[in-house]
Amino acid sequence: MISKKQHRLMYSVQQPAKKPVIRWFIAFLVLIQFSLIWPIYPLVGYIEPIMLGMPFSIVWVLLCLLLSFSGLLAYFLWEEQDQKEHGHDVLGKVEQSKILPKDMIANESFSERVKS
Amino acid sequence: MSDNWIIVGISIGYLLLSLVMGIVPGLKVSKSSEGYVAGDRSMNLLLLYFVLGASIFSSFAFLGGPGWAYSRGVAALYIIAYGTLGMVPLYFFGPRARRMGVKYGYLTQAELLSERYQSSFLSILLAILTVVVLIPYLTLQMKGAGLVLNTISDGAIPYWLGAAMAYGVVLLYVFFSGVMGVGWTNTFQGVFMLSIAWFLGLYLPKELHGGIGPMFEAIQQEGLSNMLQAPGLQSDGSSWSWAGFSSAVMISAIGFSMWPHFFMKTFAAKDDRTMKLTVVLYPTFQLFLLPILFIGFSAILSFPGIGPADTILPYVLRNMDLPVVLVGLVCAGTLAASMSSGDAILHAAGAVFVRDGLRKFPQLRTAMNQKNVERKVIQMSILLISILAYYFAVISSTDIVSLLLGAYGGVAQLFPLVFAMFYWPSATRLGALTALISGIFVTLVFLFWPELKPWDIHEGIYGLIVNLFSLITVSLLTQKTDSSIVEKFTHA
Repeated sequence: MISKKQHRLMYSVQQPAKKPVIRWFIAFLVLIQFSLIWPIYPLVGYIEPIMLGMPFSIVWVLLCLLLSFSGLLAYFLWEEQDQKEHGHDVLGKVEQSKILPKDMIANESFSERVKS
Repeated sequence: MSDNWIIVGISIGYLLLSLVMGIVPGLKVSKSSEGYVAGDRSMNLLLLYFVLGASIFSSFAFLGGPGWAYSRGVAALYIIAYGTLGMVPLYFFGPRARRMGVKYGYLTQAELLSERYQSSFLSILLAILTVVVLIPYLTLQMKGAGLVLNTISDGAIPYWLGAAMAYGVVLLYVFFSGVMGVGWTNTFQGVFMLSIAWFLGLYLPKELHGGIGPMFEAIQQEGLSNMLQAPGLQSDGSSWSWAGFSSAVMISAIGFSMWPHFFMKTFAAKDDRTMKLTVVLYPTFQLFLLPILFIGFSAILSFPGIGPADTILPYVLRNMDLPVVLVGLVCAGTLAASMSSGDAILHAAGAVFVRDGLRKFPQLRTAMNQKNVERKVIQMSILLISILAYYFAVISSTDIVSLLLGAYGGVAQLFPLVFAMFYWPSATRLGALTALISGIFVTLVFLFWPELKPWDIHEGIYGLIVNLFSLITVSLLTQKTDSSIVEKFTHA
């Protein structure tokens, strides 16, 4: 069994750029969340300026929705690109399907179920 | 009179189409529980997107959404605000849960939790809570469907028959096809209600005010500006406080992905990519709520003083001179909204009751391990649950819908447990149980005695604070869970 420390070490050696990206992504999500509630939304939740015929209080929520969609999409694409290059996902876990053929995984689950 | 029959005819046509869409796909999956509950873990992006999207947009979206905008103005944006990020936790939890499902055969959320925290009691507790909450949820959907068919037929179809017709169809396809029936009908119902919503949301403001812009201008000129200023109004007409709005959005966003009928669909996903992309694309479904709110806004000046606010859409439909085919389509759309949630709820309630409840008793488990017995038991539970929900919807006058009120704060109490399951190795069985029970207890206390609240924020937030505190302190004080079990999760 690998100790916790060794694990951390392995991750950091394998992928120096990973942790910062996921941190930025989470910070981005938190920012979006607070843009939709107190303390950011009260600063902008007024009727003016009217855009596309809608009060700004509505436009703002739609902007946040759009932004979160773009952010999620960007993160997803980045993650996918990264996985292609390094063969593991963001937490340093090598994907099962890359080691085991699919039917082996299925068999494993089957035998597990029989046991239980 | 004949007009009404055209409308009813369209609705019945829609019901028949739903039935076909629901029965056929079920013929293709295996007869095992895995096929019935998780569609043999084969759902592609299209199906998963609509299952998750349409399950959440219930009759609340078609009836309650316009009602909120009509009576409370931009407070209705609350629904869009919590949905914006509400799905995101599944981007992280979903693929892990899915991989564990493939590896160990899990089909429900509680199966994961009871394995991680080594507690059958937790599983049974969650099974009971799930059924207790999902039955009123289902009852509410049935009431919506009965109401719609009753109203549009001008009483020719009685309320009990309307609910029975719509939910007879749901029962048939859920009973025979399981989750694949839910998947394909939700895709059909989802596309259908999306189109109806956009059409109506643009058409009504145009008809009544000459467009979206003039509509909002008119509302402003009538001195109702406070309706358009965030965070809108409370149900009594006074301004909603920022603390109230923010905490309600927060608690719903946290609880959103924890609904059992929602979370368990991660086990049906074909692969990690499908699961993640569904979360990424989810905001596009949220956008569908915008026209729904326009419907409510358009009625503020044209039809003032209608109550209860939830009936505003049927009221507008009856009182405007709309083409009869359009009214029929809208009614079918409302049925679609009700049924696309009702089917997922019914299916989940049955599956959870059996997998997490009954199976935890050793004698029953042995019996259910025989070929396809479990599937049949789930089907029987589904039948039983729908009869119960129908009883509450039509016959009993017990106000069980108020049970649902507590559910939104309650379901969020699962979040710390699910998060710790994957990311906090030190969480223990006792920590998890104390956290869940104390969190729900505090939420319920403040729900029933709101005057005890120190600040005017959502009761679920208080529950969550106590929940987190108990989880951390009790876990640190009790003996660690065996690391071989914990690592299955943290390294999933």
